[in-house]
Order: sequence, then C-alpha cells, then structure tokens
Amino acid sequence: MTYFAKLCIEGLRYNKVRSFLTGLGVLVGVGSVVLILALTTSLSAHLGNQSTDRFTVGLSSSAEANADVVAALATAPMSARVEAVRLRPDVSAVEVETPGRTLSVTSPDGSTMADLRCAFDDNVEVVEGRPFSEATGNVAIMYANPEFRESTQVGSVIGIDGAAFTVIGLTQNLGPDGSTRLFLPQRAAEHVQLTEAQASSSFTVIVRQPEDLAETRADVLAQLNDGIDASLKFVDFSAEEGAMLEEMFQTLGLFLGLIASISLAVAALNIVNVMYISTLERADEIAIYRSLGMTRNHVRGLFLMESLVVVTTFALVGCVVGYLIAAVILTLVKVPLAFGWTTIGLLLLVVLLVGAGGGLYPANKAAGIDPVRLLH
Amino acid sequence: MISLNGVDKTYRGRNFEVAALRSLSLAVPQGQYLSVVGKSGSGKSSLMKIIGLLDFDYEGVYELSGRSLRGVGDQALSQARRRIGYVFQDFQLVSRFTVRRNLEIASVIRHGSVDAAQVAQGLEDVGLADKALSYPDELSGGQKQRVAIARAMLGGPDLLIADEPTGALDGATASAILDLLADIHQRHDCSILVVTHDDEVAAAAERTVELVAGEVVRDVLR
Repeated sequence: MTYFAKLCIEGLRYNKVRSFLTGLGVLVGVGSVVLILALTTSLSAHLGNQSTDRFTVGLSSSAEANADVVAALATAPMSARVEAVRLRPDVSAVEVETPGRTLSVTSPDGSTMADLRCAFDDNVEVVEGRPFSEATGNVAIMYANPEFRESTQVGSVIGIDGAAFTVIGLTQNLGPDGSTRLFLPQRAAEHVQLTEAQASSSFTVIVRQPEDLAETRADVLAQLNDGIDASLKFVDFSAEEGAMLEEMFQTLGLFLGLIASISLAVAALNIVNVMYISTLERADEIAIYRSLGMTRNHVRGLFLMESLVVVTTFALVGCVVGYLIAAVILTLVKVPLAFGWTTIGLLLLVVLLVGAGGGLYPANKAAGIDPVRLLH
Repeated sequence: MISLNGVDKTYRGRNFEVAALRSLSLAVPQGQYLSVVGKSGSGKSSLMKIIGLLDFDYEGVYELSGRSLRGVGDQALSQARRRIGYVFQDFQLVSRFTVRRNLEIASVIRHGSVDAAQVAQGLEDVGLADKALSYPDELSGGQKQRVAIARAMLGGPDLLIADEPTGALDGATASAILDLLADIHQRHDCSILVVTHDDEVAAAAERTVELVAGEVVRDVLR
C-alpha cells in the first residue's frame, strides 16, 4: 500500500504544474463556498445574538381595525400597559420611543439628507465651539455623534428649508427626550418649521435573565394582548425583523453559495479532463504495469487515488484559506466568527465524492489499456 | 510448458481477411531457449501475442503450464502475467523513474512489496549495479535493454518473451544482449522465446522455428 501511494505521488509529479493548476481550481471552488458559508453563518448568528436580552413589541392591526382604537392606543401614553410590563419581576427595563419633532437637514456637500430630531434651546451647552449666546444669524449646534464626526464638524454648513445654517458648536446633550440631534436658537422658530414625528406604539423590553428571553417574551405578549380589541395584536417586532434578516442572509448565502458551487463544478470537470489527458500521455507506462501483472483494479485504483489526493489536499487548503479570509473580514466588521464544522464536513464529503466521480472515467480508461500496445 | 494445438488466428477488417496463423501446433518444454524467425507478415508476432497472453482472439488450444487462460478473469490473467517476463524492441522503460525504481515497480507488482536484495541482484546480474540511480535517458541502447531484461527476470519468471530484443541495437551491442540471454538460459530454469526476423539472432537459440504465411516450415533443434 505504501508503494502504491508512492506510485500515486509519482504520478502527480509527472506534470507538477498541471497537477497544481488542477488543484488550484478545487482550492478556489472550495474556498469560495467556505468563505460564503462562514460569512453568512456568522452574520446570521451575530444578528441572533444582538438581542439576547431584549425584544421590541409593537402594535399590529388589521385593515378593519377601528381607527379610533388604534389612535387611542397609539397616541395615549400607553403608560398603563407599559407600566404593567415594566413592573414585571422578570423585566429589567422598558424603553419607549417617544414622538418628537424633526427637521429635514442637508449635509454640507448637499449629497445626503436626514430627518433629525430638533429642539429650540438658547442655552444648550457645548463641548466644542461656542454657544448661541456668542453668535448671530443662522447658526446651529449639533450632537457630537461619533459616527458622523466627519460630516458634523464645527464650521460645517448644513441646509434647513433651503437656508444655510453654520454649525458653531457640538454638544453631548440629547435634549429632554434623549434623542435630539440638532439644536437651533429660539429666534429660528420664527421661520423654521418643525415636522411632527410619527407617534410610535412600540417599545423595547429588556429582560433580567437572557436565558429566559423566550419565556418572558411569550408572557409579556400574552399580558399585552389580554383584553385588547380583537382586530389588534401586540407582536414581537424584533423577532420578525431578526427572522427577516436571518432569512435574507440565508437566501443570500444560498444564492452566493450556488454561484460558488459553479466554480467547484468547473473544477470537477477540469479534474476529469486533466486526468483523462494524463491517462493518454501515460498509456505506455500503464501498459508496462499491465505487462508486469498489475490488475485492472489496481490501475483504476492508482488513478482514482491520484485524483482524490489532489482534490483532498487542495480542498483542505481551500477550507483553511476561505476560513482565514472570512475571519479577517469579520474581524474588520467586528462580527464574531461562527464556524459550522458540520457544514464544512459535509462540504468536504461532497468534494471527495466529486473528486472520486471526476476521476472514475479516466481511471476506467486507464484500466482498459492493453499491454499489447507495447509491441510493434 | 507451452502447448499450442491447431491454433488459427485471422485478422478481419471491413474489406479484408488475413490468416496470420494456420492450424499451428507447437510444444515448448520447460527451460527451452526457442527462437521464432520469419519475415514480416509470417505470423511470428501473432504467435508471440498468443503465447504471451496478450491476445485471446484465436481458434484452437493454447495451454501455458498445462492451463488454458482463455476466458479467465483479469485477476487470474494478471497473476499468470507475473510469471512471464517481457522484453520489448524499444526497451519500454519508464523514463521518469531511475533504473532502480523501474525494477522496484516490477518487484511491487509481482511480490506486493519491494525486495531490495532481489532488485540489487538483478542489476548485478546484468552488470549495471553502478547505474541504479541513473535515468533511462542517460543510458545507451544496450544498457537500456539490459535493464529491461533485469526487470523481466525479476522474481524468476517461468517464461521470458523477447520481441526483437536486438532490433534497436548495433552489432556489438546485439551480441552482448544475446550473450546475456544465453547466460540467463544457463543459470535459470525459465523458457526463453525470442521473436526475430534476424537469422543470426535466431541461431543463438537452442531451437529455431521458422514461420512462413502462418505455418511452421522449419523446426531445428541444435
């Protein structure tokens, strides 16, 4: 068996470049599939882990729902229901999204627009720049959001209702509602119209024990839906969102995996082609083996082994390469790598079957070579 | 050892039919050095293919060591071929392997593992022990044929078949090969079958059978 394996390695070294290029196709194919699987699995798992201790509840109504009821539920403080949930022993906190006022603000270069919650306050404190008391004209103070540091700097000019406002300062103050992003001096209220933000009937429940999330969620929803109008229903928005995102990633992963699998299929066809050419080139060598008494099965096994060695070696390297690239990408986007060993194992099994299947035809051809070809 | 009885071999094409062997009968005892001589088309190659278990499309009876191998499976056929050593006109060495590796492969195929001592002895017997690590392309024609003979004799086959063993060699080298075959005949108890068109090569054997148009026209035992 050892010498058989040696003969196999010798066969691969017959044309090292060709063997390498054949294997490279397998490496790229397997690496692509592993990369896509690792990325989609990790992103999907990360989304699932994001809300291990909380869920968002909102109101869902049918078309026939009584609009007055919806409005009453939506605009009323919902304090009774929210307070009941907040008082639960298994609930740590409840975060309610409060309605507010927004402005449509254009970025300094005019390329983007955003609706920002706004408040008129002459006395907002600044951590950079100067307060409203030291400025005149169209001026604004913005929340120093680290994510938008580049676009919201002191001296930036933003557009509001077609007028240019200069950002004179940055603040850490988020206003009374905790979500104000833009402050204007009181005098601006005379000509700047704020838009009333849509009232929201959703709130986020944070549980005390993340391991009890599912049970708590079920109990809270049952509690909220108790006694409610039949056409209305409190639902778990986060679960739906999460499920939607998870489904999206799974579909994307499936689609991309399908495309990557095409490269794997091409690599398999290449194996058939290359091994067949090798059979033709080594026909005399095979005939010598047969004349010495090597059986057809041994010849077939030799060529199959060559095919499997190439496929297995480069498939394993492809797995490692795909995994490493996924690890680098996920590290850059700060998402932990969730590694599906079962999936990788199944993939390797498929690759081995492909290698065996791809090598079978040339191996059978090799086994059929007759030593009589050596005679003149 | 070799027994042919009424063997007919016909090659058939779309528009032709050629009788290569006509009711040929021949008996070769164990250990005999036999040469088969004839012009091109005489049937000597067809005879060699049948004796060497390379062709089973014939009529009549052929038995090797008292056994007919027509219709047997590949396993039995391969096993029988391990008891036959082939020497070809153009040597047929695997050029990407060293001389030693060429013999080691034969050892593995015939015995299941490398018998290093046997390989070394085989090269010693043909005077090429110092060429063990050389590649076939680095050898002369005579040296290549010696390696081929060493490979064919590995493990002590019952029958050595040489197809025009001196066809690609010059006079002096050819003589050396014939001397080697004679030496093998003296030291080993294997039958030797040399197929040739050269009367001088045929005369080196202890028995010569001449074929003309697929029939034995002369059978000389020296």
